[in-house]
Amino acid sequence: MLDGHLLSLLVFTPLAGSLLVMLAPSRRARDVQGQETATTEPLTLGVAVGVAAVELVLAILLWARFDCSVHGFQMRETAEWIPGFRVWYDVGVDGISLLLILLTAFLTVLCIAYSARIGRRAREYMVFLLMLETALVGVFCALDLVLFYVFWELVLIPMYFLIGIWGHERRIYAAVKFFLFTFVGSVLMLVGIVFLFVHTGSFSLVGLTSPGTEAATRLAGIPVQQLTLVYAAFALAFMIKVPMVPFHTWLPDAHVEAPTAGSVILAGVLLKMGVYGFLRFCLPLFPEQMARSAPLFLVLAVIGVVYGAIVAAVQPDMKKLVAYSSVSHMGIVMLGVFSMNSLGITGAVLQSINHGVSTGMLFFLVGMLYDRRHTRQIAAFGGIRRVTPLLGALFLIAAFSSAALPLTNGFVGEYLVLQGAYLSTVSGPAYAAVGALGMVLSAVYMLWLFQRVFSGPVVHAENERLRDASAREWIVLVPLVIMIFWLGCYVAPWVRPVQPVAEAMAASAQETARPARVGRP
Amino acid sequence: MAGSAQAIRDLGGILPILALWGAAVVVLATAALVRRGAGVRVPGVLSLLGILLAISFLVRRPEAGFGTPMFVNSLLSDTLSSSSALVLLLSGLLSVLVAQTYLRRLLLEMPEYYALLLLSLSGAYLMLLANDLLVLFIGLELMSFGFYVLAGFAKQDARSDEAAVKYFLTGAFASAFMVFGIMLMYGASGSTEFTHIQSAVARGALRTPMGIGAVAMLTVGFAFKVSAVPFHQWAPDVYEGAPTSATAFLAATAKVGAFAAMLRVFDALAGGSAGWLPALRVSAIVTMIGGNLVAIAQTNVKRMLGYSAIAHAGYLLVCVVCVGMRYMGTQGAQANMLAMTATVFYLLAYALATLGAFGVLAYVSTSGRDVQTLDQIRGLVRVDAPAAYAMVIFMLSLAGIPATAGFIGKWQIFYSAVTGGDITLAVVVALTSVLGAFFYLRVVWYMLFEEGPPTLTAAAADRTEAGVAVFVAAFLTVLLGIVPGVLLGYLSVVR
Repeated sequence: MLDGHLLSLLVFTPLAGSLLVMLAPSRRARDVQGQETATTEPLTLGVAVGVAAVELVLAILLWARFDCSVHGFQMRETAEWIPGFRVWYDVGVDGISLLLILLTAFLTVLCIAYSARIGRRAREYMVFLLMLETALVGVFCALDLVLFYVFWELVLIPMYFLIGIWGHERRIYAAVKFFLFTFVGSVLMLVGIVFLFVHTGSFSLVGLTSPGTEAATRLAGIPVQQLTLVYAAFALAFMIKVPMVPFHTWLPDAHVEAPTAGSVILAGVLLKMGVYGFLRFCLPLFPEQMARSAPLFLVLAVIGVVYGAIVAAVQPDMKKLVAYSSVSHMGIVMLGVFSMNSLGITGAVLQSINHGVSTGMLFFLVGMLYDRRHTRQIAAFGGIRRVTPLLGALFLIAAFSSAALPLTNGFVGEYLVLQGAYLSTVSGPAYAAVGALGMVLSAVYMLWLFQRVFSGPVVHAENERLRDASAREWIVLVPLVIMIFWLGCYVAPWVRPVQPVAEAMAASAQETARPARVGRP
Repeated sequence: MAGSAQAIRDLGGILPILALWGAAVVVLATAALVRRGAGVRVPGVLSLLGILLAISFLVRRPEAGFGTPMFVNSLLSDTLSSSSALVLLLSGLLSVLVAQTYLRRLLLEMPEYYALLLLSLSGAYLMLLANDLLVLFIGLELMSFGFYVLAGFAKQDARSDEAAVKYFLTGAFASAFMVFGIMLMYGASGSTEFTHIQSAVARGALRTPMGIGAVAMLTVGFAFKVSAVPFHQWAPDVYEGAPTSATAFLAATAKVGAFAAMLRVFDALAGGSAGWLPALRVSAIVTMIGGNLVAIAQTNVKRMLGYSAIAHAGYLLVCVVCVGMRYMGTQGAQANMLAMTATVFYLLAYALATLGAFGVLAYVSTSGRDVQTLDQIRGLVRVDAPAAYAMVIFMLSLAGIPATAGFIGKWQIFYSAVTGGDITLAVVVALTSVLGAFFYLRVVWYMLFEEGPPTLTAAAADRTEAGVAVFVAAFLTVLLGIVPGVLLGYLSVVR
């Protein structure tokens, strides 16, 4: 059971868990208006945490059974899904998916634990978080294009609800904007997927990319112009998701308005879906188009790095600041992807994980401050390190990680990306230099943020009696701190699964990019 | 003797229709016998039994091939008719369930409603079987007459009367176009039978002025019936004004009947120079854009669903365009077959979602509180969470989001259009469904996201039937979205 179906278990455990949460017996406490009262039932919470914990164990088991020495897909499971249309349930993982699945399972446990006090409509909340986890894990292991698209879109629905129901003041606007932006990109991608199928007769990523198969031969036979348009459809969907400038405008709204756990998953995992898409689909399917469009994407990436950092620096709202810092960091990740060499790709994947950990932690911390003061304005705080020294110390660690200080995880990832970009024949030193500027700027806004919120004298009287970190908050933050230093000091176990994949990707990309599609059998 | 054996076999082919007629007669007869008034469930139950009987007669699937002609070639039973008939009868079943609750709660209960519903249903069924333009027309009229009366069934409500009159006038207008087109077609091809028309078309019958006129008139007639732009204006008014249960019924079944018949007609017209194809293509594009754009501005859910019906007619017209590619090389032939199946599947997905959505409105309505507007469903989740989440499923299906039947349907439309080589149409479908997503999501956010006390209050009353209908529709929508294979085999059209 466990051997043959570990991935299916990983995909569907949270879904089954969400049904369990839905059906668990409840004693609904309601006040006069029919509103549920603000206590999460222990049973609901227990089931949700239990399911998420099981999922994390399964993910770690997957890691343990993963063979780092090969670069192909492992733990494949295939079964015909829609008969007559050649759509298959086809899942498998390589090193990139493995790390992203681990990240998803890890952050979801923390999010559910953090949300123990969500209060309003807690049961639905847990259901949506668990459904989201299923969709995300599905995205990261689907190898059939239609299956991938299904999971990709499924991610939208629970997130739409999380933002729309539990978000802040402008939540409806943010939720709809988030949904529609992503939807525009993805429906065009669906047309692209169908186009590929009509011309190659296959939805299978493996079939389309293994040289010598009929599907791959037919893929090579598609006229370049049409293939470029299909690539554009895919790239647009992924660009919006990352997001790259100029499609980033949904991000600040969605991140700011989402409830804390929603922001953590959004920044931590959802953005990586775009990066993953570029690496998993664009690079193997359209290497030539990708190489040719690289200058455009590199420019957009470095614009994102600098622009995101500058805009982040001037935000009066902590959450918005962290949101814009994501635009900047994702720019660095995309710089790595479009370096199209093994260093850059490895760095991009690692930096995706790092960004998930450090930005996730920042969003948790901002959420904790918000819980105490019900405001996110930087000006409402100041000097609270004296009142909440532990939170201050944890915040400083997260800020250092975000600013890529050596010994923290951020440094490793960004360093790899910049080295990759420097050495790459596609990008080059100039892009690396602008990327490095982003690192400097991130130190500026992060440390300035810390200074304004935590340092100096306590400015506002109401901040005198803030609580320091509670037990629940410790439970959420300590694992993140451990990850920050683990990834920062001993990164080898995390690089090992990615490296062979990255090398193979880079090799095939360079092989096809140099002689104009002659090398493809 | 051979003749009578043939007649018996032919009658066997229309057993479902006979079952519907029988049920209609029995319903009318019992109406005369049993006590009238609130709480009488006999007519509704009898109609359900009639439709179930019809389904049981239907579910043996004809062999693939060119089908079995019946009644001297005037009817044709093939995979297209059997698969679309299943969609039709299923919609009828759910419509009766929705009507039972809705009519009882709005104090509109009269046995005649069910008799008319069954007759309309049989008319639509006749359209699916028609292999002759005249039979098609008879089916169309039989279907439409029921609709006209049902739309005006809430006699006390001026808007219901308005809907009935509007629907009747435009419907009559459309019928006139249709008859005129049939006449011209007879002149151009020498027959009203599809097989003869098809061979005449292959010989170039459509190149004459009479042939062109015939196709133009038929196209306009169908465009009225399926509410394609620019012949769509009646739809929002009728959808809004008619009693919710009648709107649900006509939204689902009229589409099934009209589009199944349209597939047959335009499949027959595909040969020769399919000069109507570009015109229909433009109409499809305009319909998709127009329906979706105007729906954005609506605050009445029923009216919004009226515009959404127009938009979905646009998506289905894409299928008809693909059907018209039948003789354009192997790709065209393939697109033709794919589009047939896509149409049937899409009709099912659409019927389930629309019936479900109207079913939810009926489910939460009571006498003196006919739920129609977005404001009325504000905060519904806090009053009746299952109903609200069922509505979410229907909206997501209409928007074509994965894990719902609507997605599989939309995906098949993409597949047909791209196979036929018409990427532009596929892209228009894609982009307009983004517009659509906006107003479907708005229903969701009114029910789930809006703060403040809910407008509705929980009403304890018997509404089992609508509840069952909503549950079945929601269940099938999700089931077909996750494992479409369970019905895809039966629904696929093969020749």
